[in-house]
Amino acid sequence: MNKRNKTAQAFLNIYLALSTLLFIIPFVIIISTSLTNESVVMRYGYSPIIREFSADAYKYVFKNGQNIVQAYGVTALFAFGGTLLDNVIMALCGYSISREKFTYKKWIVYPLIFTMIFHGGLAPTYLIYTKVFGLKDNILVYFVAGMVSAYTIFIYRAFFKQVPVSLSESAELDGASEMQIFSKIMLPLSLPTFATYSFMGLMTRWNSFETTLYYISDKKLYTLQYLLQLILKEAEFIKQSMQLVPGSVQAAEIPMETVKFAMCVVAAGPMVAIFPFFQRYFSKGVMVGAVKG
Amino acid sequence: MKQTGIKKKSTFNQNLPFLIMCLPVMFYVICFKFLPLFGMVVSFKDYNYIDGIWGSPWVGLKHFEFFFSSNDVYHILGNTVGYFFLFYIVKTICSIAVAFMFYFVASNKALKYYQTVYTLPNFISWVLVAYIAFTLFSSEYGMMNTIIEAFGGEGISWYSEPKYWPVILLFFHVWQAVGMNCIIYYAALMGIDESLIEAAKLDGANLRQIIWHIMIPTITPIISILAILAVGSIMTAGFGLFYQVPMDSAALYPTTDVIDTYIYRTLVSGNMGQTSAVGMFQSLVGGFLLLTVNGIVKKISPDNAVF
Repeated sequence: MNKRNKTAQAFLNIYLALSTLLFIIPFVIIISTSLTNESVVMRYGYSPIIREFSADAYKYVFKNGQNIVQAYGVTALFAFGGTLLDNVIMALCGYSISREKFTYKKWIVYPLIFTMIFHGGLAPTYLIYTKVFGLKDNILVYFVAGMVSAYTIFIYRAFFKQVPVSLSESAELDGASEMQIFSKIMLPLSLPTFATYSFMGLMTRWNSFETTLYYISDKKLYTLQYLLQLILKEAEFIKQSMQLVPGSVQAAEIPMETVKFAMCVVAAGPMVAIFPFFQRYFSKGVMVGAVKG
Repeated sequence: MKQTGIKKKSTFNQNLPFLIMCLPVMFYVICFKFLPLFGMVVSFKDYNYIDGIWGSPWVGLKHFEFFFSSNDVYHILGNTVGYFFLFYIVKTICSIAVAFMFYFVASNKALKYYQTVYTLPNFISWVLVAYIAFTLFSSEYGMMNTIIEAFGGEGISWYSEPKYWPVILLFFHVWQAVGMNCIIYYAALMGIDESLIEAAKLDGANLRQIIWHIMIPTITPIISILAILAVGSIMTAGFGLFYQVPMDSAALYPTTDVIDTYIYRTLVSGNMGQTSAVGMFQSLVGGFLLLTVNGIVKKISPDNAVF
């Protein structure tokens, strides 16, 4: 199947290996710069090489990192909690519309399809969220935003459709209710798919900043990504979040450039390091969706 | 699915558990997806905070006229559609090329390494991409300028020069997407029956012929399905990339402003009517294209249609 030609393999592998540098170096630059002495950075610029090691940036971040801790809390809450909630209700719905017995399912399926084609748009959604449901500066908005995806529901439906009817029929004969059939038999069976799409949802939620951008102005409710982009854009924000008086001696001493990147590493690092480990399940799940959907 | 026996129509009681199961989703859909559709009426009104959605005065198509007669509309629509084609074509070509390269790698270990690294950018947010871009393009300390100045050139103020950004944005888009995107092509290639290739080799086919006559035809249906699915999003350039990476620099708007960022800025300025009108335009074009293309595909080969 594969070309066993040694020269060709060598060229191919060298090329691919070099190309992977393109994907690794950007991260290295950020990490290295955060670990470099500030004055060195100001002389030589950002670089993947640590010319002079310094953990000062991290010292500042850990001493004054209330913002980041707060944001971690908020983000973790709605990323994990929200995703779990989302997928449970979507799996429930996907399961029910997969059942032949459910003769009213057209009432569910057609509206769902409609939401895939037309959407209200930013302004109407914003008005409804804030005026009707009072979600401005409200932590609940993180749960509401992006909770239901018709596409995912149809993936679940496709999965449950190919579970043999005999399974649920025999459970019925044993006197199980539909909810029991779902929770005791169907949901456990769907665990690979459920886990895959939960993971995808988790990643999306964890990486999102738009919800905060549109609806939140309360600093205590910032998400990690939103906090990060504030740090990047506004140097003043760093000084404020360090609760130092601008213009004071201490403020002038903050290693501004390296602190930016140190905060980036602390805020984004852990998840970026963890996500790839689940990558293999991710791609399998995507394939299931592609084949069945 | 063949059903033996008489097909009974379920009673209401039999349907009830399922209806209850769908309740959370339907409640959400009604409140947060359908209700905003009614809110779209704001596109035709001069919304103000005091009168609310229903009380604000009716202005008909004023917002649409304003948008289409403004100077911005050319670069906004031009960028949105332009980036759509640019991104899609380049991304597809690169994904296919990478899929082929992965296919021919002999060592499983090496392949795993390449695949993991290539999909890395898929897990990071656009904010992180903005950081990465910043390390490269910052005027004072960015690596690009460091390298340019090392060669004796003059540093460029990247965040104020629009002309470089189509390439920059293209690079980051492909960088982010190629890892995940090539999987589907790679899977298709892996799915080719080995005996087919063996038979072709026995018949004297060289590599180029195998690629052209076996592998490419395997991939072609996938390319067309994905392309069809993508058409509906021609008006949706995506907010993350275009808002974060150029750091919302106004100087770059001529080449980085797309319909999504324009809608956002209009929202922030408080003009709900205008925001809603442009959003409605975006939604209608997308929906219309999706249905049209789907309809055409249905006529030609029904299996490939989405709806």
